[in-house]
Amino acid sequence: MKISYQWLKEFVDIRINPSVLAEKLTMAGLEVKGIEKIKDDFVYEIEITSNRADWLSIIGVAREVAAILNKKLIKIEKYSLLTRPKKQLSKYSISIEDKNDCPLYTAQIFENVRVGPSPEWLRKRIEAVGCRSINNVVDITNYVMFELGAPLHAFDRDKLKGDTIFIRRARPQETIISIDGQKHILSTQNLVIADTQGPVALAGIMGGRHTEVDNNTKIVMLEAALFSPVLIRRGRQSLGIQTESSYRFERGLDYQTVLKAAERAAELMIKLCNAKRVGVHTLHLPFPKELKLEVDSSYFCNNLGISLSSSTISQILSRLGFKVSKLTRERLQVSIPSFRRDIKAPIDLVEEVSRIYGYEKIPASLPTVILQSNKDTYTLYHFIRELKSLLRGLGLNEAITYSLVDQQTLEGFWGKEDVLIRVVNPLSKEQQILRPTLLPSLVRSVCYNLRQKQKEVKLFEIAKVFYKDKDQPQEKYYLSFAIAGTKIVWLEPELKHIEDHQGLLHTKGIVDTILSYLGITERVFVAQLDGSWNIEINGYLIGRMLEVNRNFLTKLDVKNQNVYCAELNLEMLFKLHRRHRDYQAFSRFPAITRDISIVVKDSVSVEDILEAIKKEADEVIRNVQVIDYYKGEPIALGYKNITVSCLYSGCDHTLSEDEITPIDARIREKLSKIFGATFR
Amino acid sequence: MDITSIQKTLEQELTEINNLDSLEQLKVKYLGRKGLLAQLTSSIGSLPAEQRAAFGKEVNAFKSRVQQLFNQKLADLEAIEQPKSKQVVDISMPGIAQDLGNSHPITQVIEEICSIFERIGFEIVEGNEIETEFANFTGLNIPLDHPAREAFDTFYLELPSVKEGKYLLRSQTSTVQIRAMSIRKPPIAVVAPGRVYRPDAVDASHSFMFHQIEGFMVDKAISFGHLKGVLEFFVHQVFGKDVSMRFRPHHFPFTEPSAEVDISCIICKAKGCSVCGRKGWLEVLGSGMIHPNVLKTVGYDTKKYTGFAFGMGIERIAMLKYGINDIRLFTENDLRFLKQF
Repeated sequence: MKISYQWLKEFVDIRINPSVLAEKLTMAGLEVKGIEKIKDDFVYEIEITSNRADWLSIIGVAREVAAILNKKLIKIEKYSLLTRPKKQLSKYSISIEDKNDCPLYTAQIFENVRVGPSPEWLRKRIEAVGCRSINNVVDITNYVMFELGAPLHAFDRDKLKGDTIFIRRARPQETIISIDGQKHILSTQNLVIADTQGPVALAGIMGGRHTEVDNNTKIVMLEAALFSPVLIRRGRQSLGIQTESSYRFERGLDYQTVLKAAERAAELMIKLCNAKRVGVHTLHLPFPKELKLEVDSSYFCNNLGISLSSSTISQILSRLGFKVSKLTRERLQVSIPSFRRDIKAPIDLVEEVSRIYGYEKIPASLPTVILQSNKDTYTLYHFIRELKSLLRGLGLNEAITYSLVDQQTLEGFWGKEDVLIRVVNPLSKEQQILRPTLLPSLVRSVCYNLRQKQKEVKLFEIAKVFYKDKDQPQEKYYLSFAIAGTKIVWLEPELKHIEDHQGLLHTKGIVDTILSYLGITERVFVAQLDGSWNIEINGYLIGRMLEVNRNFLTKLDVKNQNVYCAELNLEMLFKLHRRHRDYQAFSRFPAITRDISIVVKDSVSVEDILEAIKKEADEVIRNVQVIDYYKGEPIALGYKNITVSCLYSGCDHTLSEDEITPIDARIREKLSKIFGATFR
Repeated sequence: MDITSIQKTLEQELTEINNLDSLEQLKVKYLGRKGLLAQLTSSIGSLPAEQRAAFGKEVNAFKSRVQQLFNQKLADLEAIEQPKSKQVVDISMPGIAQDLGNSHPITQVIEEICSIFERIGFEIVEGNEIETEFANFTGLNIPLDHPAREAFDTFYLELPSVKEGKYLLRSQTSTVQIRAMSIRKPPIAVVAPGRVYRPDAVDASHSFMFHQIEGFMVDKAISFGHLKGVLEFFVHQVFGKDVSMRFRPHHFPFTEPSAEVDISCIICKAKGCSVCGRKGWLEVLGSGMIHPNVLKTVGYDTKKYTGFAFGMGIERIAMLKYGINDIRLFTENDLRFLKQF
C-alpha cells in the first residue's frame, strides 16, 4: 500500500528523514518495500499484514509513527473526527435484507452540489498514492478512504429510481455495468446496492456506471457502510476484480471508522462542493461493546524473556491508542479501541508492546536443554538418509519429481483406477491425481536426460505414494530408481574398454544390493503377466521391477534405448531390515578352487543352481560364483552352458584333494538329478 | 677352447644382453645340460691323469664365476626391467572407479538443517502430506473464513470429509505442530521437514509443490529471547558467523508475537543487489511464540507452558546458498544440474 510522507506529517510532527522513518516502520511491523520520490513528497510502498485493516490508512500509519517516535497525533480536532453523523430525516429510506451482510449503512443526502475539479492540495494527496483525480465529489470519497481507511461511494441521487435504497444479495442472472464499463452477471453470492429497478453498485467493490456522479449532478447520496469481509472477498473473486475499496472491506473495518469517515466526507462536501446536507439515514446492528482485557506485567516477562515494568507497558499501549488503567501494582486493565479488531487476548498485547519496545532490544538466550530418553534415535527419517547415501554410492543421482500427475502419465504403470486420490481443484490436468507410484515421473526424468544426449542416466527418488483404502487416504514412502544408457568400462592393464549397457540385471543388482545392505536375503522375483517382476519377501509384495514399455518411450521421444526401473516399499523395508549381525567364524585354512561347467535347459534358474551347490556342501563351501555363461554352437538350441567356480576350505583343517573330490562328485550328481545338467 | 677365451666371449656376450629371455638362452648355452661348461667338465676325462685334478679345480672355480656373472646380470636386468613393465599403464589416464551419484540440493539443505537442530536436542518428525482442515487450519488458529482456506490457496482432495473436516494437501509443515504435540508432553523440541503444496502457477519463483522445515519447542518458561537465541545459532551455522540478522514484527495466525527473520544479504554482503531488492536484507524464516489457542488445541496448559515455532522454505534457502535463480531447476532433474552438488 502507498503512504505519503507529507500526508503523514499532517498528523505527526516527524523530524526524521523519510529513509530513517522507513527503517523504523519496518522494524515495527510495517515493512517498507520501497520509497519513491514524487515531486516534494516521498511515497512508501508498505506491505500491510492481513490482520491490520487500520493500517490501510494515513491515520492508521500516523498513529503507529506517533507511537514509535513517542509523539502525539495532531490535527484530529480540526477534522472533528470523533463526531458521529447526526440523524436527519428526509423522504429517502434504507432497506437491508440481511444485517449480517451489512451490519451498518449510512446514506447522507447532499443537495445543491457543485461538481467540478478538486483543489490542488487534494489532488496532490490522492495522486501521490496512485489515484486519478475525477471530480471533487469522487475525489472526496477517495481522499477520505486513503486518510481514514473507510471506502465511501457517491451516487447521483437523481439517477436512482424510487426513494428506497436496498442492500441485498443479487438475484441469479441479474446484471450490472460497473463504472469501468464492464458488464457483470451476478449470483446470490454477490451483495449489491439496488434501487427499485435493480443493482446500482457492487457493494464494497465498485459503483455502477448508470448512477455515477457527473458534471450535471445536483443531488448526491453518499454511502458509508460496513460489509461482511468474507462476502466482499468471495464476491470480488467471483467477479475477478480487486479494488482499493474491496481491499479494505476484506480486511474488516470497524463501525467507528465508518462513521468518522462519513462525517469527514460531509465536512469536505460542504466545504469543497458548496453542498448542503439535507438527510442522514443510518441502519445498523447493535454496535459491539468495548473489549476490556486484564493482564499482569509478569505475563509479558514470561513470553518475552525480559522484564518490563507495568509503567513501560502502559506507556507503550497508550501511545498506540489503548486506554490503560492500573488495577494493582502488577495488574493492568486495557480497553481496546474499536479499530483494533485484531486484539482479542492478552497475548496480542504482548506483541504490541514488544514490537514498539523493539524486538532488537530483547536479548537472545538459549533454552536449557532437557535430556530425554524416550526419543527414537533411529527413525524412518534416518533410515531414508542412510539409504540415500547407499544409492549415491551405487552411482544413482537423486531426483525430485512432482507428487501430482495426470491420468495419461500413469498409463502402463498403474491399473487400479478406483484407489486413486484426485484433487478437487487442480490448476491444470498435470495436477489431477496424487500419484500411487513414483515410476512414471522418474522414467520421464530419465527420458528427458536421454534427449539431452546423456550417455548414461541413473536416477532415484524417495518420496511418498498415495492411494485410498475404503475412502481412507494412505501415504507410504517408496524408493524408486530408473536407469538407462551405456557406460564405458575400462579394463586394466591393456586399457581396452567395453560398453556396459544398463539392463534388467543391473536393475536386479541394485535391488539386491539394497536388500542385502539391509540384511534381507530371502527375496524372490516373480514374473508377472504384463512382463514386470514382483519382488516378494516371505510372500509379501514389497516392490516391482520392469522394463519400460516401448510405447511410453516413443511418446517421450526416446528411440533405440531402453529404460529399466524398480520401486520398493520403504516402510515395509524399514520393518523388515536387520541391523544386527551375528559374527560367524570363518576358516583360516588354505582354500581350494574347483570349477564346474554344466549344460542345462534355458529355463533352469542360475540362482537355483548356485543355491543347490551351496546347500550340498554347506560346511566347506565358502563361495560359489558364476564365471562363464554361454549359448550357441556347439551347445544345442534351448540350452545354456554355465561355469561356476566353487571355493572350498575346511573349518578345522586343510582340505586335501581327496576330500574335495567326493564332494565335487556329489554336487555334480545332484545337479544332473535336479536340473538335468550335463557336464563339459 | 680354453677357460680364458670362454670367459672373454661370455663377458662380451653378456654386455650385449638386454632382456631376461636372451639371458635365459645364454645361460642354457653356458650352463645348460649340453652347455659349454658341461663340455668342459666332460673333457676332464680325456686329459692325462696328472692334469685332471688341477683342471677339474679350475673348471669348478670357473663354473661358480660364470654363475656369479649370470646372477649379476640377472639382478641388473631386473633392476632395469621392473620399472619398464609398470610403464605399460598410462597413469595419466582417468582412474577407474564406480561413479558416485549426487544428493539433490534440496535434500542436502534439509539434511544440513535437520542435523544442526538434532545436535542441539531437537527430534526429527515427519508428518503426513495428506492432512485435514483441522491440522492445516483450525487447530493452527486459522478461522473458517480465512483467505488461506480458499480453494485457490489449498489443494482439496476428492475424499469424504471426516470429523476433522475436509481432506487436503498440507499447505505448510506447521501441521506437524498439531500432530506432534498431540502425542507428546512438554518438554518437546521438534523439527519437521517435508513437501507442501499450493495451487500456484509454475514460474521461475513459484511451484505448486515445494519443501519446508517447521521447528518448535514447548516447555516451562520458553520465551521470545529463546527463539532469538536458537535461530541465531541456526543462522550462524548455516550462513556463517559473519552474517547479521534482524527480527521484524509480522503476522501469522498461529504465533503471537510473530517475527520474520532477515539475514544480511549473503550475495552482496548487505550492499544491496537484485537478489535482496537493494535492501541488503533477505527474508529467510517466519517465527514467533506459539499462539495460546494452538497450545490449548493440543491440550497443553497455557498457564504452565509457552513455546516458540519457526518455519522456512527450503527452495529459497537452497537458491540463496547455491546461487540458483529458477525454482523449476529443482524438479527438472537435469543431470547437468544435479551433478553440480
